[in-house]
Amino acid sequence: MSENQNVLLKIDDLQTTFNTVRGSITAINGVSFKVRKGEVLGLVGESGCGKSVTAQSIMRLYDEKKLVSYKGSIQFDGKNILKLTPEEMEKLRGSEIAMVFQDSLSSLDPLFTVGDQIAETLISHKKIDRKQAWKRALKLLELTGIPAPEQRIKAYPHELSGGMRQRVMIAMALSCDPKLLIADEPTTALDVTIQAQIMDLIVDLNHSLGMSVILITHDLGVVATVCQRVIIMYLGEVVEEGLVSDIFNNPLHPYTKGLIKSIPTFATPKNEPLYMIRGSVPVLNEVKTGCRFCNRCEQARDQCKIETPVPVQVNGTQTVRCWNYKNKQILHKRG
Amino acid sequence: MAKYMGKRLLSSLLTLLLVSIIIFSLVHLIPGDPAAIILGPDATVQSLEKVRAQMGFDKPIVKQYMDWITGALRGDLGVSYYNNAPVTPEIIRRLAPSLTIAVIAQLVAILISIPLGVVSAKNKGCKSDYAISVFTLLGVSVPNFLLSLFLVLILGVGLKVLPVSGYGSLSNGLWGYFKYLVMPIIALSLAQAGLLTRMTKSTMSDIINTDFMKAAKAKGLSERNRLYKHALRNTLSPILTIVGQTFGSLIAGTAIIEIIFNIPGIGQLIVTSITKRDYAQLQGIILTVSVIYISINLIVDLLYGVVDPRIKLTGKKEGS
Amino acid sequence: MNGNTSHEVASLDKAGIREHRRIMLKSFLRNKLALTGLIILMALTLLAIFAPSITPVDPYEMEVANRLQPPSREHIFGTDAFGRDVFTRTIYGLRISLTVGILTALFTMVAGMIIGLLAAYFDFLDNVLMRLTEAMMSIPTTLLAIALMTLLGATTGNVVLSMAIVSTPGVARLARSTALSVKQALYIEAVKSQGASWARILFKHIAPNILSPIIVQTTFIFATAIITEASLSFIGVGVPPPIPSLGNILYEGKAVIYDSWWMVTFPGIFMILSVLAINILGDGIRDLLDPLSNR
Repeated sequence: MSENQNVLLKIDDLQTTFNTVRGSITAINGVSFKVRKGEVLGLVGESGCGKSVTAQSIMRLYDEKKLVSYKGSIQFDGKNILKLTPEEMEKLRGSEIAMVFQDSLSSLDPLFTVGDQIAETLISHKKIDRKQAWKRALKLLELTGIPAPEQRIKAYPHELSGGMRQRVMIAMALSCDPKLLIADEPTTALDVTIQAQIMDLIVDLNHSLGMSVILITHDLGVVATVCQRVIIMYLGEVVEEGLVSDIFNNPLHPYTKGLIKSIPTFATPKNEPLYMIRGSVPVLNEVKTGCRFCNRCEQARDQCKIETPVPVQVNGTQTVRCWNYKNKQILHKRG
Repeated sequence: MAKYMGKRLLSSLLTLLLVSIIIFSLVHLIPGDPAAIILGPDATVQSLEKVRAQMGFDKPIVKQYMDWITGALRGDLGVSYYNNAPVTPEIIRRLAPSLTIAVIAQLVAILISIPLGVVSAKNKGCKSDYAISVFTLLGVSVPNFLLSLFLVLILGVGLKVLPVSGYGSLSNGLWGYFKYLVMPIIALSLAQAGLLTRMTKSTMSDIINTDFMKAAKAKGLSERNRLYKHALRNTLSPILTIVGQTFGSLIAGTAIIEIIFNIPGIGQLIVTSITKRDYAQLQGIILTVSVIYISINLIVDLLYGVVDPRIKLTGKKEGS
Repeated sequence: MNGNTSHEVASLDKAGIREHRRIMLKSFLRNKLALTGLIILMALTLLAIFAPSITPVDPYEMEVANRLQPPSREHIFGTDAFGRDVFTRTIYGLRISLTVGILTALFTMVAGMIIGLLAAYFDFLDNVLMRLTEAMMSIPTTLLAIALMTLLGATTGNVVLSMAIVSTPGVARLARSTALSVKQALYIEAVKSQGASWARILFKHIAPNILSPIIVQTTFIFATAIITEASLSFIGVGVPPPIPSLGNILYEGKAVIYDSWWMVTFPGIFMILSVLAINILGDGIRDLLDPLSNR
């Protein structure tokens, strides 16, 4: 279908397993979704649900010699990322897919200037010399809205404020015109006013450059204003996928419903306790068969305890992984 | 930056003052009449009193300390109890061989450790890591004087490749000078290399797991670039500090080894001071060595300030 | 739900602690290297304890006619310059060296912890104590030990005392810095607000939480003490002859090394084995108690 030409990234049944002292932990278990060209996709979930693991698995950032193993496929621009050689991955990272991290201070080398760190990406990928790289770096800093970029480019990371550092991270990510930007909670560590500025910047860049964005966050408010489509994750699995309007106006999965209900709004009565999803997120290696949300679900049925639900397409834009919706078209057969 | 350097300098001077008080107190708490030591058991009461007045032993202890320390600031560490010769020139003469050995041993250790530490951290858990770990374990477990004894047995007595004692001068040519130093340097540097390799590996492993290394990987930088540009630079600074801190034990180790190899350095001077109960010389030696040690640490800290941009701003070292 | 939660959490905690300990023990036992170190150390300790039973003669007994004999069936490690059996002296020397080492380590641990805890808790003490420890650490340890031994006079007890004095500043600083970070923990504030006295807070609440790095450090001090004692004896200011220690046997052996290799080799091997075993064990304990350290 012509839809497929629009798809930039297609993840199929991705499984990431870590080998730790406590044994093997499968942090994400059968994650599948698509990212279209030019769209901003939100990836939402609580801490520990596997959002960062998904992002870092796409970039294959974990140490593959001893720590991690992957299953499934990640199709990007006609290649399966999981099958690329380390050298091909190095070419891909930073130039076609770029990532922005949550903590800008710890993500920058304290011993090198900001300009150096932007320039080295350019030098490494574009094979230009240092002078040219610095000129481009300066332009990138201007693009991301840093005031007085000629001075700031010579600064060290600890000399800049959090908001400025995050702009630097974005400048670094943009330097080689990536097709996809993965932003892992880029504003969580910032003040609210700065948050808004950074989010505006990301949206601007998405519009002007046509760059796709995977925005990882736990803040539904941000998702509502910035994203076109949303993916909800719980405990290593995608539980619902749909347009922003779908998720907010017609949430399907009980977890999503709980999340939406928990957001306090002006309409929330003042004297009543805020809504909470009952129970708490279980430890990952305690999870057994059946739906992972079962013990906290208000709509749980007997089947939920025994069988893991498969994702089903409920309407043109929404997909959900829940036994309450099993009478629609089934999308993926799990083996 | 200047603020940092000023603070460090002041701190070092204060420490030096305290050290001098400690050394002086220790030596002067040693029981026995110094005058009797100098003159021997047959001295008469009058000559004892005369010597006491001459050397200032009858003055209150604080005054004695002040005299000593003000003298030391001018370079005068007093006179030997044994032969009445000034202490300072003898110490300086003896410093040259000891410091030569200590410095070369430290350099050799650094040259061995950094590459080994990097390889070990990079290949953690692999065969090369285990092999290097065996080496470092032996390095820190074999005392340097024991290693010296074994070296003497094997290379000196057994194979007769190197001289086992004595000290040459440069007039005998480079090898003529160095052949006496080879075994001491091997003995000292191996223990130090064991320690430094472990610290390099540990520091580098910590650095490799940091967020900025992960971000560097996400930028698509090559492994070589990440390791040798970013990880190594960040490792060198803490290792530099450790090099300074362990230099003291290297000097102390040199002292002991000199006795085995009959090298006319500080170590021999210490032993003779003790056997002859020449406490004036002893306290002069320990003060001198401490001054050197404190100075080296001061230089290392100042260098750190130049190398690490975070110091310039905050005036404080990371983790302090 | 809230009432149940705290009960759940409490019982989870106990089970969690038991599980944690089980995992720690399992990983320690799986660490073959650490186990090897432990076994070697235990073997050496047994040798030392049962020295009288396993050695053929008295370590002080001299047979001047038999001096400086190479290893033979009668004297498996040979004899020394006074005709004493080197094997016997080595085993007794091991006994002394191990004893001196462990006593030094224990005294250092206790003294260092007390000083460090006091410095961490009382600000006015902190400055003074830290200056003092820094000054002491600015004198190379062996040299300071030599000076102390010269002052105190050569007895075995003084060897322990000198080495303990020399090693305490390092442990004190470690204890202080660890205690400072524990002190910041919120629950200490909670206990304080309940009106607990400073002694109670320090010794009942903070002290147990700083034990891990202290124990690791103390193990390595045990190893260093054996070496330092040997260095002191080697110069002649250590364990006084004729009491045998690995160090002073080496001291006597140095003089006759050209013709009598056995006096240096056998005590040397025992010394290396001891220090090696303790170092391996120390590494294992550190892996156990501080698994985040990237060795």
